[in-house]
Amino acid sequence: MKIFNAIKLTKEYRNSGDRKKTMGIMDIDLEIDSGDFIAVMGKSGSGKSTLLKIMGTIDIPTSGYILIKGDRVSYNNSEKLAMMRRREIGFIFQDFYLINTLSIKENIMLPMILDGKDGKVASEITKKNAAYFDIVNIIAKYPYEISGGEKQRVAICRALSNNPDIILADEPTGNLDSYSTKKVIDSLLMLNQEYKKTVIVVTHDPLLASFCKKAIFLKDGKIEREIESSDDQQEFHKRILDTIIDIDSSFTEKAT
Amino acid sequence: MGTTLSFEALTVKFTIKEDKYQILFGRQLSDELTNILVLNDQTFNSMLDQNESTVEVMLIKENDSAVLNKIKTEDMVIYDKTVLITLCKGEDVFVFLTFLIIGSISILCSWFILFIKIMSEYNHLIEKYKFLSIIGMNEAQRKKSIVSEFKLIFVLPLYISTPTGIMYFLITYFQSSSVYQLKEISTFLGYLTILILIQFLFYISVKKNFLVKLNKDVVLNNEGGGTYFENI
Repeated sequence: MKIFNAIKLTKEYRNSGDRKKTMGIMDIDLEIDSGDFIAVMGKSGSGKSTLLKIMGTIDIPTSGYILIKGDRVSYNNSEKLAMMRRREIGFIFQDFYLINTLSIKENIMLPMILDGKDGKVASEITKKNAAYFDIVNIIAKYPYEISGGEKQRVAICRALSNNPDIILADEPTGNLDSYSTKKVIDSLLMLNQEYKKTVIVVTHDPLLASFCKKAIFLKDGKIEREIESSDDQQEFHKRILDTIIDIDSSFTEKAT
Repeated sequence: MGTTLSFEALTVKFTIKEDKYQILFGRQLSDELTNILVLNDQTFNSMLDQNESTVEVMLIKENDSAVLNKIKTEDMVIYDKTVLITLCKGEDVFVFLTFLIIGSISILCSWFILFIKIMSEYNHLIEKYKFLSIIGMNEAQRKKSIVSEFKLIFVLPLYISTPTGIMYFLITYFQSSSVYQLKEISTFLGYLTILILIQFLFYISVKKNFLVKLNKDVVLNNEGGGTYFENI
């Protein structure tokens, strides 16, 4: 079952000063199956974050459209969009975006509270998810009292709060050391394999991408290449590195 | 009916009118009334300079014949009621006005501080509400949340300061043996109402402008495919 479709997605930005157009992404067609674990890779400015924002309905394409679970996304109804983001999509950010004045438990409960869930029910779900992601011992603490890796696992737990089918992660390991990166990768794998969520990760990290089922490479706002894993993580890691070198060398050849 | 009473070098003859004895103010030394004399304003003022530090206000029971006899038979100084009332009221009004001015300055300063605080935290609030919108907070929830935050900032001090002001007024009122009259009470209540009204208008104005600015900054529904949430 296709959980996400992008049809001829184009996004142009206008510079605030000279109003010049800058291309974000161009004519992107994409189909994502339910239960996929996909890495979106590419250099800075290749359009991967733009693509993720449009997939998360937090950015409007200049042309083209997206379908989530077969329904075309309309940007005219902000209430419906908010509900879609609340129930269908979970977000994980590089900078965690935890609210410092709320405890870890309250941060995790936040999407459920926004969705009008009962406090007791939300608390139970939070405790259950926190146990899965090994953060039970910190749920009474505040974000400034925990490490970066713990913060990201809290963010993952929060993304799961309303049990959405799609999890979008923007550079989830970007601010983490190798130990925390491993923990976060394990958590993302758990989301995909045990919770059966469709996970789409934008990353520069070939190691993280190597745990995915598929890697999509963007270049200059277009999909340059797609490669699939053969369930051998190390082999897939090597192929990802080779693809990056290959794309880079084609750029060098053009430049010379 | 008349009496001649002495105070230091002065010997003055007074006609004592009955109703003047209903409430008297005098010098109180230890627990007994001594040296009480009824004087006209001019004489009283000239004497006050010498005795100011020992002047106290006290109430004598209405038609207390023992006291009246004491006043008549013993060497007493009696101060005129209206003079003392004016004096006491003048002091209280001065204190009252001082508090009003200090209070007004404090309130104006607090508004200024609140305004600066809100504006300096604006970018942080934008980031927070952008993020909350991303995870599904709708416009109504955003408005409700901001209104709650603003209420806490603006209305809570009002909830605390208004009863405090009223309590201060009542304590002063009772301690001063009813020297406050309807005029002063009306002035106080009028001033309080104006402050509450200004505070309320300030709250409405800041809240409205903030919501408009925040909505504009958080959600940019540009025609032709703009960015829904900028820079996040």
